[in-house]
Amino acid sequence: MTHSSSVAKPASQTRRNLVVFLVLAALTTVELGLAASGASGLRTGLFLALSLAKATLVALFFMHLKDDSKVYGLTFLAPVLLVLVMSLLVVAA
Amino acid sequence: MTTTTIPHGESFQAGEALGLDHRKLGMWLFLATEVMLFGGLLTAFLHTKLRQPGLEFTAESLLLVGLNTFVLVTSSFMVAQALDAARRDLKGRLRLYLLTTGALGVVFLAGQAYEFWLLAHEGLSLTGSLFGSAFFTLTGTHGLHVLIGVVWALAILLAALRNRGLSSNRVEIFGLYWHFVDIVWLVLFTVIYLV
Repeated sequence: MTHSSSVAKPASQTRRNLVVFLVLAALTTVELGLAASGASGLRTGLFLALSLAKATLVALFFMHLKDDSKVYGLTFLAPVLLVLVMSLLVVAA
Repeated sequence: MTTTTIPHGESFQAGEALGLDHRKLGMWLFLATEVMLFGGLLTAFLHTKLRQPGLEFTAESLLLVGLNTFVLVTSSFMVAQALDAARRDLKGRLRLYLLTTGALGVVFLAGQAYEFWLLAHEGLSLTGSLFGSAFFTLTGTHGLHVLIGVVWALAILLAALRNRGLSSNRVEIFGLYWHFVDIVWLVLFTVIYLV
């Protein structure tokens, strides 16, 4: 019977982390470019969509909600939805 | 072949009842309460901003806050890398990433302090107007969370330097907190400065 003293290490997540980071940086650059250009039109909606995209990326990949139990995600999502409703009510009032 | 069943009490004590890590679940529940805290403050700020627009942020201010956003996003990347290093038992890298995270947190706080100083010179204060009150309460509360995160990162770094048995779970719990603080800033950046 042979024993192996080395335990297999988990695969590196560096590539995935780097891609997510670069996308986040790119989206932030786009936001700043839009803000500097002073472009109007769908500005508010675009900023909110970009912000939502960035937050989702962080939650899914850096906080591992994509791979973890759905219970964690639902625990987090429930108050987020409540806050969204609350904010929409304030804006609509 | 024998089948071993683990009594519920034992799995609970092992911190993994229902297939969930208790410490992680505890942190997610804490973050849920934090969502409500920041949600309340953000809604109050929105209410104020829509009815009493306070000030137009200058290009300089926007650039500063934009750089600060890059700093915080980079720190989130560092924390993700720190967890990766902890899971792969790469102690040197873990220390480096934690140190960088703490340093970036300090840079963010310095940037925020400078921004507060600039705004104070433009006449915005905590008690001078409703907008100022909502703005400083919201961003100040976030800054306090970053400060707590910096202290937490340094505490974990200290444990890593002393070569104590540092579990990747401990780094992961800290990471959840730090990434949450990052997410909050991404939202604040948009709502306060861009929209």
